[in-house]
Amino acid sequence: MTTNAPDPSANPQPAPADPPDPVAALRARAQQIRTEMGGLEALARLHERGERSIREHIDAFLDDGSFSELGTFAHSMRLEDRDSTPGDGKIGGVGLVEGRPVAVGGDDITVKRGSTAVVGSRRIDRLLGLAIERGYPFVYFGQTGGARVPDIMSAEGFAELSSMMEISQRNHAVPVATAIVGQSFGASSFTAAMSDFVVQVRGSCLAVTSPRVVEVATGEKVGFEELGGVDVHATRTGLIDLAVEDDDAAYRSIRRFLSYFPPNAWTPAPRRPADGCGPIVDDPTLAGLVPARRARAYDMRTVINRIVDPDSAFELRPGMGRGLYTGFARIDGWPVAMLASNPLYNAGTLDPAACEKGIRMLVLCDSFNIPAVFLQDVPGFLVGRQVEHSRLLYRAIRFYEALMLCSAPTLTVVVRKAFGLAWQSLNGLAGMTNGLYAWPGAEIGFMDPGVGINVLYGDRLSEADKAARAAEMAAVTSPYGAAGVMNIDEVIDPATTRAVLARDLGLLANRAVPALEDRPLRTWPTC
Amino acid sequence: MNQDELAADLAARAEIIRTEMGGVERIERIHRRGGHTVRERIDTLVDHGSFREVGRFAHSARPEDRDSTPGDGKIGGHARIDGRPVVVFGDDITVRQGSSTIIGARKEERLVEQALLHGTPIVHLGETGGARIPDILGSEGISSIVPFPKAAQRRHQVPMVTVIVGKSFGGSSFLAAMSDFTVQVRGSCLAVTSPRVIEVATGETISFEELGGVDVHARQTGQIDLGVDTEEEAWAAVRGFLSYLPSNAWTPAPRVPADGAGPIEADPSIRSIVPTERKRGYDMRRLLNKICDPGSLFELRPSIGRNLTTGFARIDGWPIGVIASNPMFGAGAIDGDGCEKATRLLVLCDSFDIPVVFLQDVPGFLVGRQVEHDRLLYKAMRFREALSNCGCPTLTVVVRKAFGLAFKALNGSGVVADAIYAWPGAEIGFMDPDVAVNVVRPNATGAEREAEYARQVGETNPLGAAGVMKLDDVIDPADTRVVLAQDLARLATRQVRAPHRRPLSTWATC
Repeated sequence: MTTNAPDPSANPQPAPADPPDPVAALRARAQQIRTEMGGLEALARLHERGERSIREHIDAFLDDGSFSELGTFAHSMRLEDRDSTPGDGKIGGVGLVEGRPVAVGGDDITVKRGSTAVVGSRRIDRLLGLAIERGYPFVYFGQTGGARVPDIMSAEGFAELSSMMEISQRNHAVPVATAIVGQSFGASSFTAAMSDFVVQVRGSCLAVTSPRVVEVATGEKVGFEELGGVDVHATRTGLIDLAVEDDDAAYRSIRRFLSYFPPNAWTPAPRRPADGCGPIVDDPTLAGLVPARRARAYDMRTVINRIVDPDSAFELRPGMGRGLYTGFARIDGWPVAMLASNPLYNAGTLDPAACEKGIRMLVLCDSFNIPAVFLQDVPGFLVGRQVEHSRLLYRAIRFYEALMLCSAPTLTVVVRKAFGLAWQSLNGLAGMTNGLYAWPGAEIGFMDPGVGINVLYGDRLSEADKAARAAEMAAVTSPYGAAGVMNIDEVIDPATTRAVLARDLGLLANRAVPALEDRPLRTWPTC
Repeated sequence: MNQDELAADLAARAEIIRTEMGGVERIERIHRRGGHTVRERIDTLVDHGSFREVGRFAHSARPEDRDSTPGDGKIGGHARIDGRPVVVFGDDITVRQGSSTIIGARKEERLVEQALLHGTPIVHLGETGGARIPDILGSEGISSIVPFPKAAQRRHQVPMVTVIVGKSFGGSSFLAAMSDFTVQVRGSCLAVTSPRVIEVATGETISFEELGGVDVHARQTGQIDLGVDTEEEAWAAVRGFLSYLPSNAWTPAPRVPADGAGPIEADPSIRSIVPTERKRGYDMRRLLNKICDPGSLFELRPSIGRNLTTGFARIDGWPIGVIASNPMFGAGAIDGDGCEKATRLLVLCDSFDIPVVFLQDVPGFLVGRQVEHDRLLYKAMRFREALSNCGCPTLTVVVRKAFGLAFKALNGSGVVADAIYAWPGAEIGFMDPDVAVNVVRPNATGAEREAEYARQVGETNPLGAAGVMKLDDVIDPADTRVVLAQDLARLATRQVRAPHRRPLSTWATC
């Protein structure tokens, strides 16, 4: 120090104002971002249409007051857009669902229509990356307009955009659920396709490309509903698990879906004793639900509801491949996947869409080590030109490979028919199924006897002789043939079905659970 | 009998089984039709005299059928193809139409088991009439058969090939679907259920050709890799396919120097293959033939999803998988069938650790109601997940257009490429400038529109992406073969994941 330095006190400055309180400033800044979002007018317009903002979706979905945001102060990479893009079109953070942590994110259509740009996609990738590291589910509310123009128009900008590696390399480490709540094109649709559960709200649209871009590129005019509305996906494409009428139903369905799942693949799925679930006792009326007359249809859901805990059955994809019911449920509190023939539709035959439903369930069961329960009443696969040309062979064999690779426990009960490859595809696999049971009236064989007789003898027999031969054939399809050579574990009284399954699930509680890398289907897509 | 007599008896028994099969008259009927028995086919396919049978003395489990079912409908054993060991088996239609029953299934299972233990490829010749009646009609019979558990759990540990040589329903069709490569010979039929059973069950009448002929599968269903006119072509295809793959997942794929391959040097003629006029079509296979070793391109599924060319090839002898846009078809826009072809190839390449070369000239994904309703979203994301999880090396060259999700889908920046290059005339961006100009300035006309268009085109220059290190280099097209050959040589010392740690090895190819 030199001694002739000026003495600061010799020339006093005006007294400085109190420095701004950084905490108050932080609060004010966050408050503004959260209340104004992309603009009060944009919010007002949403509300006028009766829609919710992404923040309202998140708050309504999560346990009250549990949302804690991550990336509040993110904004566009482009200097000129910094101030007008709070959150950069994506909002997210962590919260609780029934007291369990989840990550939640979504598209904020008040900011450039929720379009996807560099920082916004980085925010979502970060949320998902953390969820995978820490081990909790990820829930997304999708309605992005697509990639943001002009940000990603250039080679430089586009090359910078997220490649969605987190979600596509997730390998089902944590459950991912998507609700399509608005018009979704690009990234949020991709997230939906890679999710374990997708619910779509009526009035929304799920597609790769928007009607506008479709029209500009090809001249084709198509409405949102027609392109990717709930009815298209629930009954035709099978790109969604559930269609619902409003946002609240979407929240409920995701909360319900997650209730069957562990928070991550390395934790056991939670057992949850059902409210009002009585003791596990025999149910002598169960047998009467399945008509003894072999051609009579019935709704397998009535049987399922009696076997599983009250109100625990949660059906998925009810509008597709309806010959096979798929969903989750609980038996004595143990979460299980249900794959059950439903003779109410096409006599319970398997078609390509049913196979795809089955594959999806097995991927989830294997990934999260959830037991699968099969109920069989299946005359076979659907036959004919149309299904063969719709790749029945490929879908049936992919389903079969999934079953053969599935490392989660599987249990099977044959309640009535079990014919041909369908018997094997629905887990009629001697020595490979954890528990394989049949009701005494079951028929197990290669072909329905009525068809078999005609294939064997054609017109060479009189109707009377055919009937006689069919009776002979029917005799050999009795389950005691298979039980006699130890190919099925037991022929059970239908009344004991729930008790047998509950007992097995209890016994499975101490099973060796394969390490994550030894679950073959965890790398399989659900799409 | 002493040992000599026993040996003579054995030889006599074997000779009868081998020459008479399910009956001399049945063999003659096959010959009169111009067909071949499964034994003749095996002998023609494999290296001369290399077939050694397994299960020669197998027969039906039913006492009353023992003498009439030599081999029980399935014939197979060990052999060599191009000097490499293989397991080969097929349906013997002289015995109950090659139908599948307990002992025959046991033989096939045994052979698959041996192939997996020994690490040898499996070649299967399919034409079974289906499951045998009455053997498995009842609950005891059918519950005694689990269809091909070892093949279904194979996890691509060894390559599996199916040739559909006749009318195939049930078991042989299932094996075809599980195979890595399926060839179908014209005149045969591949289906789950036969026309006869379809008619009995539903009343629908349909011919074999219409139900599951070569054209149906090659063009419409995509359930085969190659349709051929003759069995000779099928055998050549099997040999060709196997030449690119290792015998098993724990052995490196064989490097095969090409006959007549010149030195690896710059080739200025490559520059003229891709038109600079951005809307002009051309056949990407011409470019592939220049970049790959001469005659080494082996295209798969050439009649479906043609906007993408997929197959195997070699560069400087190194085997590679190829996924390349083909602007000759639909401008190279990717559709659902293209995604499925590419996914299938990635499953094989990851499973057998074969590098994949991507060539991009892609305006985007196909758009519109039809492709959306054909589940383009699912197929594109399935392809995407396959690529993201693919552990084998990948190399990408953008030769002209690379727009939107298609740029990422074909292994563009930020995905998994070990190296990514662009030619100087490449255009990379979110949208084709033709479309972008309408989206950004829908109402612009005349000079204003021209200016916006020029601006959009300028933005897509690959130097932009190269400037922020999102491309490894911008290369002279003439050097493409040189650059790829150098990269493949560099990759020869790569760390290779253990077979059971390859994420796509568990994926179905169907």
